[in-house]
Amino acid sequence: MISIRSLHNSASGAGRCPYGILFLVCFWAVFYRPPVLLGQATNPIRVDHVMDIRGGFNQPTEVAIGKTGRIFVLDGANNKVKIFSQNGTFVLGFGNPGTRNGEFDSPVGIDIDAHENIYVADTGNRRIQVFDRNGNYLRKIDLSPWSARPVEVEVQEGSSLVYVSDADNHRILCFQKDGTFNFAWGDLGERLGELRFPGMTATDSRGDVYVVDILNGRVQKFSPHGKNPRQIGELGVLPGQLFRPKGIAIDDRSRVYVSDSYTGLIQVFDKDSKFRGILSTKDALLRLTTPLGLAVDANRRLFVVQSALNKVSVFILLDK
Amino acid sequence: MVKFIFIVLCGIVFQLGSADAITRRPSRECLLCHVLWFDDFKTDAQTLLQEKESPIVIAGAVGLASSRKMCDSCHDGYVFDSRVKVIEGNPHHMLKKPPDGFKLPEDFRLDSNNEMYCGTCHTLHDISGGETVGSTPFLRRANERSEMCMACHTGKTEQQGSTNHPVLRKVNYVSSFEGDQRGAQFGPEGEIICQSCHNSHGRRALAAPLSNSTLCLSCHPKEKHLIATKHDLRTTLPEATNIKQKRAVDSGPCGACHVPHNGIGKRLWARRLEPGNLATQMCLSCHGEKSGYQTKRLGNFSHPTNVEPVPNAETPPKLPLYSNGLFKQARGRVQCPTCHDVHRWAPAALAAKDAEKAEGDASNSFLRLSNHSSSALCIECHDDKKQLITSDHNLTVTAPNETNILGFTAVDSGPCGACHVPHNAAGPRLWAQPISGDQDFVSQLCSGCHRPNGAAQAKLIGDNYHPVDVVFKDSSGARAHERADTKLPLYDKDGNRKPEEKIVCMTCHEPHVWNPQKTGALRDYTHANMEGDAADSFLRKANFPSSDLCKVCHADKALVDGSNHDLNVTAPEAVNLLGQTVKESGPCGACHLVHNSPYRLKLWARPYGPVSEQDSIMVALCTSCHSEGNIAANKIPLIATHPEGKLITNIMQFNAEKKDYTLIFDKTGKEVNVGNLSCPSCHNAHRQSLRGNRVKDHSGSDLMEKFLRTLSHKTVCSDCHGPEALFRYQYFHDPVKRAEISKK
Repeated sequence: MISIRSLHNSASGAGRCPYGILFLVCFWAVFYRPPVLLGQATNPIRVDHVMDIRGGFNQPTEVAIGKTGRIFVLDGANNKVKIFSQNGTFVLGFGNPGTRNGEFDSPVGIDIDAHENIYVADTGNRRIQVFDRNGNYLRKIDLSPWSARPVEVEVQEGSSLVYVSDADNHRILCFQKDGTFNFAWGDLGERLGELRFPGMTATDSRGDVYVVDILNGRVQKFSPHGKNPRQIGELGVLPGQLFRPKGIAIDDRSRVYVSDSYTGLIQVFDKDSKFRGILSTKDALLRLTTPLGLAVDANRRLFVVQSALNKVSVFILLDK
Repeated sequence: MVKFIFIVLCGIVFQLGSADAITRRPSRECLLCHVLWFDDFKTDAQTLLQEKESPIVIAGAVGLASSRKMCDSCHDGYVFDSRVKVIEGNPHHMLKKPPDGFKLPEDFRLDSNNEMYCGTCHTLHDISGGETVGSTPFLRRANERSEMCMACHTGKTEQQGSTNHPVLRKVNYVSSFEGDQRGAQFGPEGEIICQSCHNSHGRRALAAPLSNSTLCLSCHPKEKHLIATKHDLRTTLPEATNIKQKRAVDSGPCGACHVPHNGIGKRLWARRLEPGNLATQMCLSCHGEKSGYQTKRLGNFSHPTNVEPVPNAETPPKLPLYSNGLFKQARGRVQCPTCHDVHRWAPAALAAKDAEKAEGDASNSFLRLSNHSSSALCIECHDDKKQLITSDHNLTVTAPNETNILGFTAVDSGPCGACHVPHNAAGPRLWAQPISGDQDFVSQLCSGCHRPNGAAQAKLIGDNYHPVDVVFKDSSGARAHERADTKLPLYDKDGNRKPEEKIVCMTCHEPHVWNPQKTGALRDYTHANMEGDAADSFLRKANFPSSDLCKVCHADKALVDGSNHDLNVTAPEAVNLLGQTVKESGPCGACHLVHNSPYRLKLWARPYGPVSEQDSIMVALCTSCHSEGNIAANKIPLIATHPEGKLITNIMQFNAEKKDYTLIFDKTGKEVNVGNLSCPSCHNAHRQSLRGNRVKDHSGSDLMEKFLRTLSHKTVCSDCHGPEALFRYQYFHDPVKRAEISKK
């Protein structure tokens, strides 16, 4: 039997109290976490700032690059699409608030096809509008039969498929370019293949569809027909994890860039969904203000919409 | 026992170790906002976040979970789109410190910089009672009746209706309100609440733009007619500012004169006010001399305000009356808005075409009723004047092109406006015609038109007419104000009605009432320039069948009624010099013409009768009837003349009473003291009976009913001849004897 006194005495010399040592060991084992330095864990991927594009934006959301290198910015709160040359010179803008053809109601998503036709997710009007490269209205895809709230439109390169993120119903709708409905997938949930507020999308050279699953804190990769879901990242605050993923872009090396509007970081994953690193400048992590839409052009320039700053920042990817 | 102690110690250690940590693993839902609750923050792992903060939720403190950055991470368009609602306009001054002295309720939070942010009003853990009318989820307090708004904006609901717009009252809401689309809300019972007008989110703090006052007009649709009128200050006074230093183009047309909060005076007034009657000063803030604006002025002579409606008139049913504070009252007073609807250029369905530029007339000019064809506005109060509309004094009928002092034709100014203008009048009585210095003002009221080349040149009064501008005295010498029964008004030279003043045209004429015996519009007014008679002609009293008007002043002549000299009795078909029968001229008018008499003497209305060279012209008045071929040919005295060449002295002139004394006239009809007798020396043409009552026997056989004058002896002869008068009469007035005398 051990009295209080003996317990007190044992504390004065560990060697005389095996329980004390045992206690400390247990305590250490339970609570100790090895320190991880962010700089070591992030595997920084170097970028250099090239320029900023300021076009009188008001909380823009997305940027897209045409085949000719022209830059298309969706200036949604202004209900306009603004087009810039490769060097950031303003070319033209179009769109006004309203419900008629060619008018917008707080659009959120944009994409460009191989002919530089412009696809706009006209969110408030629940439709996709298509314009030619000069901003002339061509046609629309009415989404009201699906009660969809489109926040993104993605034209698959080399095919006639158009993917639409429906944030109200947590699913992806797939149409032909002429508006013919193909199929849909996804439902509200946390499991693989389920979505919770799907946002921006991207397609890779194989036609796979990458969907930013915003409130699930991840990106899901689907086959062109919405099958075989795989997960990139997970909800969290550690490197390789995502808290508020928003923008996504895939470069010519199949690297997947994902912006996080809360942390302000852009993380990079490879085609096998493995975390590759975090974009960094020479001195530190590249921490932006509310980064949303991403795009990479043929010159390996990364375009980032910094919504709260009302600008599009351009970086050159320096990794080889 | 050892095991027991170990367990207890472990428990103690765990207890100590968890003092700064979360003991339960948070759910995934919590982590979506409570980012610091990730287990990774319990370790030394380097997270992606820059912020370092305790993961412990401290009541009242602001953490990352409730930062604006966290809100924006979902409300950026992808999960919810609050870009336009919240971020764009920043109407609620987010990320700004509250003003000095602003007392924020304890349950409303500021962020770590002591600035307002989303969490000031919202909390994710809804305590407002859910999503009901007027309520938004995630509010810190229920706000169905703006309780939450008023918790901060305490001064905005005081003095409702005066300086602040009323709230919590039911309104007639227009469903097409543009604010619908901007989330305007009303209380659970349809009351207006703060959120009816204000949008705490969005491009602006208002549910609809100010530029066209869409917001105001949604509940005040009648006021929309102000748009594009001269009261739309955006175009008429574009540089003028209200008390908030806003120009009309910024405040909107309503905001130029009204502000919903912190107005001055009453009615949310937004413009500078001079001391005085509020109801008037509100208008004068633009139309007053001190306004400094190039606006319409009222002039020195303007319709009175802050007065009771016309005495004895019914409360105008179609016009509002107001208190000094401009609240409608059934027993209120006449104020500017009694006649003017400042929000509507033209009443009723009249189009406000070119209302910004066009000079107004009686059909518009912000009048509540059109004064154009029937002066309906004026008549509402001046009901006693409405007979003018159906008379020749309605110049829109008789002189439509005649212009008033403002240059308006009678057609444009309306019947009343031809002679009176409510503002910028030429003189008293709101006179609308030029006033010259050659005559007293009161005379010009009529002579302005009734003059050669005037609008009423066909109705002149001639060279001989009833005297005007004279003090009234009756036969006893009493002046009007000394008589209790004087009914006709007397006026001073400025047109003020005073009992001790003088006779003017308006003493006998009421220019607004054609027929004093009728009220309202006259059905028998069928064409312009109708000829009047003794019963109408704008006379204050009818002069037929009895000469009631004349009798008011000439009471001693009233006994002519019913006598043989009342031609309505003895010669009703006889006509005077104007061709009027007695019915048309009245009994007095058969012998006297008030206007246009060819004779100055007694304004005689009949052709003079024969008179000898020796006789006074006064004889001609009598012989105009009492001569061969005239209406009283049967009443020619065989011996009519008093002995000729016998000058006599009028002894009765010294009689103190001078009552009906024997008159002596010279040849011109002037009263003299020494001369020959003539008919009126012995006869009073206006009193047939010496008994002083109405004549019963028109045969003339009664000596007491022969129009004789007398003083005390009942016989006119005895007044001069004393007791021998009878003998003289019997001798000299016997035709046979007199004939013999004459031969001698």
